[in-house]
Amino acid sequence: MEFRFSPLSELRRALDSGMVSVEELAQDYLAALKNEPFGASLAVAPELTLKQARYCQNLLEKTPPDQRSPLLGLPVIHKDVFVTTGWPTTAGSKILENYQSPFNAQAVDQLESAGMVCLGKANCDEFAMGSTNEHSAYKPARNPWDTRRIPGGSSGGSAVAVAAGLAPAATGTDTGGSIRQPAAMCGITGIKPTYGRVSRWGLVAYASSLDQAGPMARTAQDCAWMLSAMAGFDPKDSTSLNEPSEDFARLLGKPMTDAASTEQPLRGLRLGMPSQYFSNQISPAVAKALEAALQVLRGLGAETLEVDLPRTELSLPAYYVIAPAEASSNLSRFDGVRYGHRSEKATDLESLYCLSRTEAFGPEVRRRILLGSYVLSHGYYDAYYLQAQKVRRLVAMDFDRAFEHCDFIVGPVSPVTAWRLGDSPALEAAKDNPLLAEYLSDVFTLGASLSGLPAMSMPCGFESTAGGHRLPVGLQLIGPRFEEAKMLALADHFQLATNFHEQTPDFSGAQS
Amino acid sequence: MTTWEIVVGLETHVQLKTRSKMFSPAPTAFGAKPNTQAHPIDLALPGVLPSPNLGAIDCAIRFGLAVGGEIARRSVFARKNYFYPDLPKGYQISQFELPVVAGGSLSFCLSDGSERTVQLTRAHLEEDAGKSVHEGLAGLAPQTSGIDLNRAGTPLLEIVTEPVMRSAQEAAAYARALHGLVTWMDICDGNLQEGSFRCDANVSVRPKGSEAFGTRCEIKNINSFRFLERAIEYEAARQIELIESGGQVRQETRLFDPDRDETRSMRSKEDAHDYRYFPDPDLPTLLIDEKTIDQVRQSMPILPKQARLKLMEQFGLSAQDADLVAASREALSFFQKTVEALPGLEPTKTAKLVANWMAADLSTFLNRSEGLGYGEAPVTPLLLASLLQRLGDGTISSKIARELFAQLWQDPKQTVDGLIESQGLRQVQDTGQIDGWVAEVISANPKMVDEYKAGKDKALNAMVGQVMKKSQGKANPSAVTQALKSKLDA
Amino acid sequence: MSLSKDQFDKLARLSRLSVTAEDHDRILPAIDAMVTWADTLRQAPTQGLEPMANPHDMVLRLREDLAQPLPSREALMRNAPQMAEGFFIVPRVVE
Repeated sequence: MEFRFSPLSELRRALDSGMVSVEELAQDYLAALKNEPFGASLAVAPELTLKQARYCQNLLEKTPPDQRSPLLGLPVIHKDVFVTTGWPTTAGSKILENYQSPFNAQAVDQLESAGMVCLGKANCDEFAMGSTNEHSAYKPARNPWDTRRIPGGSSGGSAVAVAAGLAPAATGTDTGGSIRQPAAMCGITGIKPTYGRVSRWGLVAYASSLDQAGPMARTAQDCAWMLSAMAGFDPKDSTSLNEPSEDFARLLGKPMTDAASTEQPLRGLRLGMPSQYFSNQISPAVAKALEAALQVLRGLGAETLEVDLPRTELSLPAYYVIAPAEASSNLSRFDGVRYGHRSEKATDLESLYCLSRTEAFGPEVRRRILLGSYVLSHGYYDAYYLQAQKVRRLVAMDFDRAFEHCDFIVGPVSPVTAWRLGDSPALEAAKDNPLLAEYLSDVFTLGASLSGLPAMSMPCGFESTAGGHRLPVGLQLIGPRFEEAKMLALADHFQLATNFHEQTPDFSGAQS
Repeated sequence: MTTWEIVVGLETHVQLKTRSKMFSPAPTAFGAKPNTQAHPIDLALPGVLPSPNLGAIDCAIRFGLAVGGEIARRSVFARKNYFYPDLPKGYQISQFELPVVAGGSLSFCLSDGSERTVQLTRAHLEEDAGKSVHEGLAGLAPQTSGIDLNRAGTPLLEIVTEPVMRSAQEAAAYARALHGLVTWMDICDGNLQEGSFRCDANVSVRPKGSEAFGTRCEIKNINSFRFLERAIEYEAARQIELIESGGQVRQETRLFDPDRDETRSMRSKEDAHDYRYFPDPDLPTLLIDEKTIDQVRQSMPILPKQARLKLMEQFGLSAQDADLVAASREALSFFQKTVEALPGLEPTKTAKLVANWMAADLSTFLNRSEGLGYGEAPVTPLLLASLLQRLGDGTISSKIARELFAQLWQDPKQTVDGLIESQGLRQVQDTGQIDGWVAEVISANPKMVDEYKAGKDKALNAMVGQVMKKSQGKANPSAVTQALKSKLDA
Repeated sequence: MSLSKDQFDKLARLSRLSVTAEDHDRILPAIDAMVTWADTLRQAPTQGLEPMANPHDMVLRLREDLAQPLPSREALMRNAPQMAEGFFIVPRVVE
């Protein structure tokens, strides 16, 4: 199929010109998803998808092109933490096997209203806890660039679907980097918006004060379209931002500053490089790709300068206290009483709880629940949870201070490229703390999460492996709150000047 | 022998009279079929989020103002984490460190007329849990329970007193007064049977004079004032007996069994009582500004305390009488309407008369009729006024008036005058008739006459009684007494 | 700060999770490591700082007190592991 790796913008033209119908497009992706070897999807329901497709085709034919929503008729796959009525929602866990939600997540409804056609549910780490998608209770997801490697997580399935041409776009969620990191490892573009932009209604909760939903697609423009449809004030979510709705694509292609010109569209823009993000912690390959990307940005007129984010290291333990704490409470509702897995071995109420939960929660989830209970327990609350919330404020203040000197922060997403399934990332810091290696790889993404700031990842290069694979490297942008439109415009300029985002994996390569 | 002092603190859960639940838009009516009044939020389905109810906050502010408490400018909803089948999320959204109301007090009268003021620690908002029903219900297999989440999420105001009460009677009187206040304010329907008003009593004992508090036990979920009093009495006695026989009181939760008239230990709901409170990340800080508080203040009705004072100043009622008349807005309205319908009589005398009738006959009959309030009494203010009119003008004696009251309660369509005429109940004032009866009684009771002459006033009352009997209650008692005295003293 | 087996078992109890020998071997050390890691938070200069519960220090919005119609009981209880007479069924709850 010729469209599989096309961005949404191209598919829009194809649909509008009649080159392909909504149903044909949906069928092509459904065919790609059928028997796919990457573990990207957890649920498909072709009949339902085609029904949606026919409805959208109808709408498309009735609506004049200039009045059509940019997303009308375009397919999307939803991370399996968004509840959907038509597809089961598992959150990657056995405790929700076959769970049928009576309502749709708000973001799902909004994308459906914008005309997107749902292809199914994407694989993810269980309850969004993890950075590798190995923690899915169903199956791991595999990186299409080298299927022996992780795709990243927790929105691994979503990233894989887009990277492997199984879906042109996906939704993901980002609590500590779960959109950005898999996007980086799979060579696609993804954005975590400002906290509160997208309603959390219908999002299976992991860490309430950190969870944010966002788009994952092939380009910044695609992400801008999707974010415009996903975002918006929702009274059902008390943490939803009461800001007027925005067209996040409105600045695309426009001059970024007064000093900007066609050759130097980024002139006048100051990009901060946190010294802590450019330390010896990042691998040489990542450093190299980053440096080349920065050269491109400078070539486009941007000024780079060093900024200081002193609490970068501390954001790790702060996050790994706050997130498990909130999760331990959020996951208490999974008790086998009203829905979800109930152990057949239970003899009384207590064993019903313990057996159901222990049987159906994976080890990573159990680990985080236990840690979360610990840091909230009597006598430890002040030293851990409360202290972590104070450090969180320090981290946010660091960013505020940095943004006094620059417009956006640039840096790596992950210190290394995708590692092998079953392995740990090769990090300096992990040498002393092997048990914490996977967590330590989140060091660059946690800051924006704790501060609630918008942040995105876009492909900026590759690492070539000895085995002849190319492993994507992602460039992270972090912006002041509410600056998504400008950030996406910046990313768009980078993508106009480069073609990393147009690269596709070589599928004739080794598959294990 | 040690003299013991009972120390009681009460925590009352008041179900707020809102249209929807505390954090979900589900309706709050009582008695619906199981699980037909539970929203996905109440069921804690994956992906739901709490949505706080403005009406509940309003009720809380209203209460805070009524008891003279401090309304928190910044208030936080916190999660209280524990596992129980009637608690769908595995945590209750409540308030921990920054409750919506702090302090305040409630004044009331005991049955002996003495006034008490109980200090409140705080009042906070939280959501109610669901209900479990046990085997015995048709269709439920043995060794199972059924969970109904209709009640889950209903707004509650938890009102906590300082441990300043010193008797079961005081605690019951406080509970009654609180019940009166919350129904007066219309923030609670006050229905005890439906569980709209539930008390937990914290009871401990200590030697009188001791400063330190003894170990306390909590008696949970009492929904009757009588049971509250009994439970506290039993528990205090149990603790005293335990200590006096060398034992130690163990801190535990207990339930009152009204059939056995005893408290017994409850199997603990949650282990280790580590609720791991933390501010709910789904609910940002609640800010209540001056403007909001003022708006609520403007819309408040006159408070029972103020109404009581007015009754005492304007009508000269005693504190105890004022307490009764102002026990509810309905009672006060009844009083006012009755007094208004008796303009001819002297105001303080009228007030006292009406108050007495409300305290005695009206209360008795209302208590006998389940669920009937002053607003639904068959004897309306106008009807009572017409009865009291005839009493006041001497047409009937008080004994007859009381009989007529009972008749009117059964058949309120009758008129007072109609009943008086048809039954010939006019009070006999005719001195001739009275003298006749008096003479009969004197001659028939020589012993009583002697006793009276020996100085025993009781004998006079006995003879008055005899005359009243002869007159079938129709004689004017004071005229009879007068006549007897003049004959006997002659 | 080291996490004892007893403390670990208590946490498991609190979280309604069963503990196996394997958990003692694998999960306990991991949590212990994370707690030690979390101890480093103490170094941060947090005197006088308010904890940040919400990244934007948002203020609570309140909903009008109106009841809304509900989805059917069938839809809401569709995933119930055990249901009878409209109730969710669980093993006997002992008060």
